[in-house]
Parts: sequence; structure tokens; C-alpha cells
Amino acid sequence: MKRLLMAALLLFCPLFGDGGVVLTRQDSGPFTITVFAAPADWSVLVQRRDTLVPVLDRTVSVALSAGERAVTFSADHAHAQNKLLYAAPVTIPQPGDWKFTVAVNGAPPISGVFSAAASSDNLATYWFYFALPAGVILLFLLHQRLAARTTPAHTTTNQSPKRVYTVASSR
Amino acid sequence: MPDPLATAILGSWRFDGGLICALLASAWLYARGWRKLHSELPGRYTVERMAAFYSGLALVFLALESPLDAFAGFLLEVHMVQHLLLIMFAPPLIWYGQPVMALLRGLPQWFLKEGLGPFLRSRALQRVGRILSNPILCWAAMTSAIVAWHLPRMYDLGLTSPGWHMAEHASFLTAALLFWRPVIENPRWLTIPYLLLADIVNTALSAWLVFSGHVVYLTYASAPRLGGIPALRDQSTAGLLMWIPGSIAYLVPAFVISMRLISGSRDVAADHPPRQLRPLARKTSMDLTWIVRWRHFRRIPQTILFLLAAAVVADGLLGPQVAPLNLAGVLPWTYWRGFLVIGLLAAGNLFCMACPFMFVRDLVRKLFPPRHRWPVFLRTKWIAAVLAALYFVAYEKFSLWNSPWWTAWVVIGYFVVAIAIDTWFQGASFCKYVCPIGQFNFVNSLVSPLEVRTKSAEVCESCQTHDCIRGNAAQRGCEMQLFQPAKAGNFDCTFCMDCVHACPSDNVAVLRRLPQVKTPNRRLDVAALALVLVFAAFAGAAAMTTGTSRLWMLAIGALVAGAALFPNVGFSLVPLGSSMWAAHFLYHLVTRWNSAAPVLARIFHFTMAMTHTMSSPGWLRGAQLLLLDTGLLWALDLAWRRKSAPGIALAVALYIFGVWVFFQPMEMRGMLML
Repeated sequence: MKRLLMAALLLFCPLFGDGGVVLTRQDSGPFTITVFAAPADWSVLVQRRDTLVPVLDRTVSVALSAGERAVTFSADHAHAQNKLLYAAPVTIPQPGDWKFTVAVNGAPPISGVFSAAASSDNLATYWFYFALPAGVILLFLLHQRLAARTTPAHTTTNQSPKRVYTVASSR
Repeated sequence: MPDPLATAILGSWRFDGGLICALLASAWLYARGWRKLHSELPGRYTVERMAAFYSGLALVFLALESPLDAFAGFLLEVHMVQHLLLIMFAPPLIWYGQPVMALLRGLPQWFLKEGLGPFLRSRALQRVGRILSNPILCWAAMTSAIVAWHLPRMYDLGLTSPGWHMAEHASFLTAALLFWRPVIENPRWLTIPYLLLADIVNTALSAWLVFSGHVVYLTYASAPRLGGIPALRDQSTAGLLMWIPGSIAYLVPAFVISMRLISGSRDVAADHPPRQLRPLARKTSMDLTWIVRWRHFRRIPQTILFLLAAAVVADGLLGPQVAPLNLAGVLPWTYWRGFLVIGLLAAGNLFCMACPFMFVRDLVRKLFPPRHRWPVFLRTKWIAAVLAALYFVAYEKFSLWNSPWWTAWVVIGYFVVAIAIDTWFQGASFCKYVCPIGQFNFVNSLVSPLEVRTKSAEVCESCQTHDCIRGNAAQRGCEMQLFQPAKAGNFDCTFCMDCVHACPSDNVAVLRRLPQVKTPNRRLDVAALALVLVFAAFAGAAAMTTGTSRLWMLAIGALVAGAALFPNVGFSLVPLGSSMWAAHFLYHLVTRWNSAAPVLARIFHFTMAMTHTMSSPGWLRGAQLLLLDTGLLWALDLAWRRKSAPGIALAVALYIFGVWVFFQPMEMRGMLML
């Protein structure tokens, strides 16, 4: 029952780690290893199994494979916002079921399976950049409407006539 | 030795460009406005209030960018501190700084009057403002935001989705700003129950977290426990944080307000009547001329670029004909173009100022002074427009970026033609009527923020010698025949500073200006040149794509050619073209910023580990789209002012095409793939 509950938690309640969901948490050797995945990056948390204190001096490498396709990369703290994590930017080449193996030196590798969705690198991802000009245009139209209402019909200008220079043309 | 864990935790900052820009812009506007208001009402706009405002901004930054944000997903107590800063502490400090008037006064006067004026005068919007400052609505907004986001489903939603997390923080900050405004700006007896009722809601939620006996938020139940802190204890601590500091944040102001009302203390500003207004020592525009005041200043960048050009020629002719390993394959096509366009957008026509061709020409002219004048019938931009078009075609047709040898010969050809024309013809005939790079700079510098112009029109009106164009015994005048008092914008200006040095009244300067597209007159040749450059911006980017873009290029070419029928259209599109050039060259500069390394390794015989050089950071496409957005809005504004419907239609069509290009796969041009 408890296992079922945990599975349900992992399925329906993905975690927001360094911008990703928890793929797995497994004990391996002296460590507890948690793997997070986000559309553009992977991150790994390594903790001591007994105290759950984060371990920062390991070498972490990740291997992804689907059929004949394979992607390998190493994760480090430099790529993580949360410096307790080991992270790496990675793009999954194709959607589908992938096997991952995470190797932390000093412990046996852990592995699992995940399903990669199609890339979200499409127009909808950048909605803000398309909404921005539309919003500014709407504000401008509103501005014009309000300005037309509030500007007096007859305005006088007090501009001095432009002086005409005849020394040289700009052509 | 520092604890590595503490170092890692304290190093977990993030830097969100949008938020940082917004905070810096607010701080800058406030400082401008506060300075004016402090001189007028020193009793109301005190240093203490300014410090409070900046402290509020600093707390927003701390809440959203510090390690608090990085660890909010692991520990509820950290997340609670983040929310307390956003809800309880930052907003009252911001309001204590009396930011509304300060921010408004910090805006440029023209924008306040013409841009915001109609909104501020609108009765409908004033009514909306009154509704938003209604204490009942403010209280309800704050309470409902807090309660809604503490519901387990909503809280977990915020934790699992960055977008919803951002929405949560935005709603907290907005509701809190609404809530605290009446408390800080207009404290009354009714403010006390207002605060006490809010504290009751806060206490109820805190007690629920402390005493619930199970983990309320599933996310934290399954999060890795950092340092072995149990989830339930974490939740109780978070509840206590909400309870005690949260209550203090409500009760202390309630106490202070009641004390002040009982003692009948007045607004401190009443004790300090407005100071006699005195004009602030303000400059209408920033004069940057001191940088280039030295007569020989131009020779320094010219010499540097000349030496680089010589190195490009030497390596292009003698080095390996592999573009990524040759200076001629890297320096002009990755770095020079990128910095050229950044210089145009950030300052002005810096490349023409540092032009290496003019450096050599000036030396040759000392031996062979020119005696002829450029023919009158050729005093147009047609030659330059045709040459620019031919250059863009040649670039694609002969893959110039991929041929160091051809690149070297283009540079040599440039030197030869520039020297030949300018030792035969007087003035800057090559720059004005022939040079395609110059035309690119002239057109795109129309959107630059700096300009060489006169400081005072009155001084020019009394001037009899007109040294800025005629020159004098010590300094030549403008070789481009631009007469400063009649000069409009940056078009045809090479930033050579001859006029600055020639003016005996020290009345010509490099000044900041509002970016505007001004053209000297509406000549067909100038409009055609602008259209060539705008079309080339989009065609050049489209040619980089591996998709079926050629048909689209033809369609856009036909549209732009059609636009030539409407002379008003050409210059309306310049900002859009400039933004596309910037987005295109920025892409090359950012994705290949380290492409000089293999070349330097070859030239200086050192070894280096070469990995793949192609990496496109996540922010790049957003930056490109932002540039294109700016170009579109600017182009639409110009077309609107010129009442040009074709201009508006073409700007929108080009924008859509540009967006489409950004989302196409790009060719790995000039990349060293190992």
C-alpha cells in the first residue's frame, strides 16, 4: 500500500527541483540519489544515505538510450541554480521511452525508464514575446482614443518659424 | 576553510534578466523623481523614505533571486520566508517610500505629458484607480490570494509548474501592494480592524499548518529531505514562521497607527512647508564629446582596425583555407559584424569613426591631394544601393563566409577602391556615394541613441564662418557636406568628429537623443537604399535556414519591391530591418563567441581541447524576439505617423516572416564540427 502511494505520488505529483520533475529516488551504496528532469536540463541530488546530508564532491554522469540512439553527458554544480544539485543542459533527441543510467563515483549506477514528450520548443512557448507587441498596440490605440477625447478642439501653437540655411545642401 | 555545504547554499542565486531590469528601471526612475521632489518638498521626500523604497526593492530581489527561491521546492519553511518577504515586508517598505509621485516625476517629461497624460486624465481609468484603492477590495484581494494559494491543490500546482509559481508570486505581490497602500498612505481608525481581521486569517492558516498532524502539501511529502529534516517538522516550522513574524507584521503597524492617532501627531510634511523652488542643475542631454575631444582620438581605433584588417588579409591569403581555422573566416563574419551592429544600437556609427580605409586614404592624400569634384549626376545613392545589393548576392552566391581567400580580396578591393576614388575626387566621395558598409551604417544609425549635433541653435544663428562645413586653417570641415544646423539625424554622418573639432564656439557635440528616424529629405534613391537593406536583413537571415525558405524570400522580395511604389514606406521599415540585423548577428556572436580560439591556437602554436562550438543559450531566442518586437513597434509607429497603410501591412508581414525564420533549423555555417 505504501509503495503504491509512493508510486502515485511520483506519478501525479512531480517535484519542482532545479526546474524539473523527480524521475526516481534510489539508494545506491552509501548514497541516496534523486534524479530530476526538466525539458531542457537534468539534475541529480546525491545525499548520504544515513544522514541525508548532500554530497558535493562526486562525479556524476548520465547515459540515456532508446534503441540505437544514445546520449551521454556529465552533470556538475556549475549548471545548477541550486548548487547542491549536479545539473546539465540536455535536449532529448526524440520523443518516446528512454532508459537512463546515472553513475555516481563510489556507488553502483542506478537506472530507470522515462517517457520523453515531444519538444515544447514551439511558438506557444514564446507567447510572451508575441503578446508584448499586441499589448503595446492595444495600449497605443487606447491612448489615441483617450487623447482624442481629452485634447481641446482648437489648440494654438507658439513655434518660431524655422530658419532656412542656404550655405550647403546635404546632397 | 569555508564549509562547502554553506558555500553551495549561499551560491544558489539566479539572475532573471526581466526581473532585474524591472527593478533597476524602477530604482533609476525613483532616484530621478526623488531628487526633484526632495528639492521641492524636503519634509515629505526624505532620505529615510528613499531608503525604505530601495529596501523594499531589495527584499523583492532577495525573495525571488536568492537561494530562498532555489530551496523553496525542497523546504516549506524556506518557501514561507520567501512569501513573507513578498507579502509582509517588501510592500509596506515600498509604499513608505511614496513611490507614485517619485516614479511619475522620474519619467521623461514628454512621456509623462504625451504618453501617460491621456491615461492619467481619463475619468474611466481614474474610476478604476479609485476602485482599486477601496480598502474593502484591497483587504479581500489580499485575503483571497493568501487563502487560495494555501489550498493544497493550488500550492502543489505552484510547486510543480514554474509558470504557476511565477503567477503565485505575482498575485501575492500585487495583492500585498493593494493591501498595504491604505495602511501606509492613509492610516485611520478603521485601519486597525483592517489589520486585525487580516491577522485573524493569517493566524487560522498558520495554526492549520502547525497542528494538522499530517503533511498538507504532497510535494513536500515526497521531496528529498535535505539534512534529514522531516516533512512534518518542516511544515510546523513554516506555520510558526507564518504565525509569529506574520502577526508581528500586522500588529506592529496597528499599534503604531493607534498610538499616532491617540497622540494626534500630524503629517511631518506639514511642519516643513515647500521650499522655495529653485531650478535643478539639470542637463537636457548628456554631452559625451569629452571622450572624442582630442583631435587625434580617431587615429587610435583606426590604427587598431587597420592592423586587424592587415592580419585578416595576410591570413586569408597565406593561411589555411578552412574558414573556422582562419582569421579571415572568423574575425569579419563573427566578431566584426556583431560588434558593428551592437555599436550602432548602443551608441552610433562607431565603425565609420574607426574606419581603416579612411586611415590609409588620409595618409595617401598627403602625397596625392585630390583635385576633382564628384560628378553632379552621380550625387545620389543609386550606386551605393546597387553595390550593396550586389554584395549581399555575392555573399550568398560565393559563400564569402566560407572563403578566407575571397574575404581577403574583398578587404584589399575595398582599400584599393576607397583610395583610388578619394585621391581623385575631393571630400568623402567614396563614403557618401559608393561604400556599401557606410550606407549600412548610415541607414541603421538612424535608430542609434547618439548623434553629432549642435548644442544651441542660437549660437549657430549668430555664426558667420560656418567652420563645421567649411573648415578652417587648423581643421577640415565636414567632408560629407552636412551642415550642422540643418542636419537631420545620423544619416550620412560618419562620426568623424571633424565638425566637433572645427566649430570655434564649441557648439557641436556628441549628444544623447531620443531615437527617431529622421531623413534629410524624401529622395527615391535614399528610400531604395533603405529598402535594399531592410530586404537584405530578412533575406540574409532566411538564407541561413535549411528549410524551404527561398520561395518565402522571393515573396518578401516582391513585397519589398512593391513597397518602392510608396516612397513613404522605405524609412518606416528601417527599425525593423535594424532589429533583424541585430538579431541575426547577435546569433552568430553568441553561438560562436569562442570561435577565435582555434585560430589563435593555430597561429600561436598552442594546443587546446576543442569541443563542439555550437551552443545556443536558452535566452537567445527570447532576446531575438524581443529585438524584433521593438523593431516592429517602432516601424508601426513611423508608418502610423506617416499615415502609410502599406507601411503598416509590410511591417507586420516582415515581422511574421522574421519570427518564422527564427524557428527554422539553422545551417552550421563556418562551424568547426569535431
